[in-house]
Amino acid sequence: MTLCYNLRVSIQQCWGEKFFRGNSMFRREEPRRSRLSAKIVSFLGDLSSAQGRARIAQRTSQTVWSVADQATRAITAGLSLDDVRALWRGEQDPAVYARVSSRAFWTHFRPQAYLQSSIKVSHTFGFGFFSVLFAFVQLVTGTLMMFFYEPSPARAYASVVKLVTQVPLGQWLRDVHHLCAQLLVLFVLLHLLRVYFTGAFKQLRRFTWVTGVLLLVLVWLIALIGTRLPMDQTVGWGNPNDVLLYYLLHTGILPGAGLLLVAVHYYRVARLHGISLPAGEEESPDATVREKAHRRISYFPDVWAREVMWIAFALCVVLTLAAFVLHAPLAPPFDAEHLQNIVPWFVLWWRGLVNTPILLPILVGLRDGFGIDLMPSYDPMFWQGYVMPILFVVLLLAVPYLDAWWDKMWNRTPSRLGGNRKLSIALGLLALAGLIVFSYLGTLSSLEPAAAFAQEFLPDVCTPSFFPLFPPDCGEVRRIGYDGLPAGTFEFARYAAPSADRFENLLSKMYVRLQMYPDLADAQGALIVEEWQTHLKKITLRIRWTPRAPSESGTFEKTIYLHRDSMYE
Amino acid sequence: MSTRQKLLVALIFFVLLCVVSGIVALSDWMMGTPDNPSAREQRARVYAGRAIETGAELYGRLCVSCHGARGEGVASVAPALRRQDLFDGRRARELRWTESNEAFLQNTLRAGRPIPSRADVYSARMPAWDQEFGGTLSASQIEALVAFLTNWRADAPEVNAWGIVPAPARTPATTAPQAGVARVCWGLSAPYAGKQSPYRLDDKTILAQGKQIYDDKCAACHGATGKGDGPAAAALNPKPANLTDKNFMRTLPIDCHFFVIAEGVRGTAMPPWKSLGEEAVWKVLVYTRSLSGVP
Repeated sequence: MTLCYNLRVSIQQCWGEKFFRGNSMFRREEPRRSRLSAKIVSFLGDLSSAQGRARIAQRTSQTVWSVADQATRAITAGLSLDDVRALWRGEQDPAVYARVSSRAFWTHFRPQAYLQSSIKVSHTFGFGFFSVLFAFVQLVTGTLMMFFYEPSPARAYASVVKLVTQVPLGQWLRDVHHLCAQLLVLFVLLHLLRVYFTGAFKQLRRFTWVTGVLLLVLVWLIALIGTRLPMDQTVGWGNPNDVLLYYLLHTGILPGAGLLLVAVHYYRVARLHGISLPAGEEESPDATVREKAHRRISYFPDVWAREVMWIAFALCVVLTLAAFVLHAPLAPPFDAEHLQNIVPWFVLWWRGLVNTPILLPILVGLRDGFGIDLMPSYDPMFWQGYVMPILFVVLLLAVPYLDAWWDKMWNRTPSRLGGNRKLSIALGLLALAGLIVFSYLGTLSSLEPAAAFAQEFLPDVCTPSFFPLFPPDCGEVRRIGYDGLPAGTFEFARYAAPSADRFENLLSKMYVRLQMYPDLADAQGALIVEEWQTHLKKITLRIRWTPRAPSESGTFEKTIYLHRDSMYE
Repeated sequence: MSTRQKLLVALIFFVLLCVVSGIVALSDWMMGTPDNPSAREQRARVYAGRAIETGAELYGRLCVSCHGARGEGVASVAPALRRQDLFDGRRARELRWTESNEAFLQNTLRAGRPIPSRADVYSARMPAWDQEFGGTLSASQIEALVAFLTNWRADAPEVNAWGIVPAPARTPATTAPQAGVARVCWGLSAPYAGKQSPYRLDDKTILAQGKQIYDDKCAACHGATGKGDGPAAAALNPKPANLTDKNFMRTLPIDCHFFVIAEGVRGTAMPPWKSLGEEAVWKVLVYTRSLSGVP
């Protein structure tokens, strides 16, 4: 069967009379009219004879089959039950599959065929595919949460608590959204790295790369702004009264822009240039390898079935993890006096960049070597926090164009083989190393030693782990819990030896750890546990040390409260 | 892998997915009984416990200076909060409050008391804490504080908060204005008029002791450095005095300064501190004057 795009030929001519008569979508039959009473009488009459009963059975089975057939056609956009059966048996009928590809909404924007080598798992790892899947999950879970979230400074936190404590499956919804947000950021980044290192951004794919980089920036911004919405203590940036703005950016404006960009990005992949082939096969000197790489595989049912399998697998893993392992944290409500400024893992590089004066040597060089003194206008937050990341994104956007320019300058044929792109790959590895190093620098705390010690064992709020997708750390004191903390004053020095008792062992651990802070000379610590209220204990950490400078007080105190029911992991 | 195998694997994962969803739904939703609460009810308990912790932290930061570390109240400053009539509804009924007792506590915290209930017994005025009324706390923080307060309910003693202290003698401020002297000092009479400090204003040990009392009792409102910018100050109107302001401190002679600390300032949140003892008041006075350097 040929597909008819030429509308000057009537559709009927094109698809054939038989198709229309056989297809329930177009069938026009006169409804048979008979009285109900006559039907009942004939039914009872049939019941009395063996022949009649056989007739009833036959009619029933025909009706059941036709209902099932029509339902199948409606769901599959035209596949009859026989077609589905043939599909299940592995019998190929390209005409039938072409019909599915062109007529069903969800499949019409997929290519009808792929190059077999381009969809090897070891080549793409499905990063782009899973990114779209997680974005879709975010769309669904996010929309559901919009029914419960109230974007006002006064009500936002309470509405999130209400979601997780009063709405059935509310916690799961929030967990899935939180987990998929992190996976989305991770997979979009991995997708970019894969495309960069396989050189899949060249020639026709240059503008696709540009939309991809913009999508990465968008996903990053959406995820970052999303951490602001629960209005808890962990976020120290932005104006808390602007929560409506953040809400609109997170739920409407940025995802809307993302949807447009995804449309452009995917349209180019699906209709313009396809997924890149492995470079080694595409540029192989052996003609048979090149030819083999260009072999086609039809989308339906081969690639389709593979995708259904991966979707089922990924959803199963994500929903199970969110249900039983990884829960979205929620710190105490926003408190301007008590901000923690905890950043998620994908923002650590930014904090590391801001906290490290990397531009200082350049400024010193300019001042000493050229007499240009820019030191007075050196603001790390502005230059390292905003100018440098924006410049880096601009550089990233320009990568395919710079690459083409570089090839042209040296008069080289563009090649995707690693051996021909040594500089490109070295620069990519350098950027990746920078990302990791700055992320590590972003985890270093700028706290005074005593406060840093306190943060280790009784942090103000649970802190996320350095590695993405690991549960946060609420401190060992909270982990021991209300029942494990006896009331009294406990000097660390008296519990120096490790013990089988969990609490005493914690004290000995704290004793050992306190000695590891060289700035705290002769440090002595104690944990004071008091029964403060019904089922509420007050835990005070007190540290005394010999001050080195007169400005140091030599004492430190920190208090947290622990309720019997407030289970921390 | 053939298409059929792929679809079979997909089917297996979808079935697993349904099982997981079923487990979550059952544990979250359907199996809740009083003895065996659902996961959602357990989470509600967890967050109620955490709200009490948050409330305890807020109380320790903002409320202790007037209501005492464990809600026992501060004599002639502010009443005890750990007392039975506040939680069983008697106090609310006394004030003709008709809504729930929790709403009574919540609204008292949110809006404060524009007019003190018993200015003759307690001098400090309860400020409005909710951001909507010019305070510093969000609705969720107020809820956390109420959760903390009501957690005293089980073992709150019976305290008569309203009939213990007789009205302190106040110097009426209706006398003739005096140039260059703060209004509160006009017509200062015995026993305060002409009082002299028993300590020298530059005595190091007295300064250190005064600082300790200051940090404990005054810094919450007047700020650690005395600029009137303590954590509780944002909720107050009129604002706490800026003790580093030389021009202001010059209008406050020593005898009148002693009077202000000892008796408090009517119409403001400044409570009387004479319950600390005369010596302590002098010590904190000496330290306070050192902040501006005005003798």
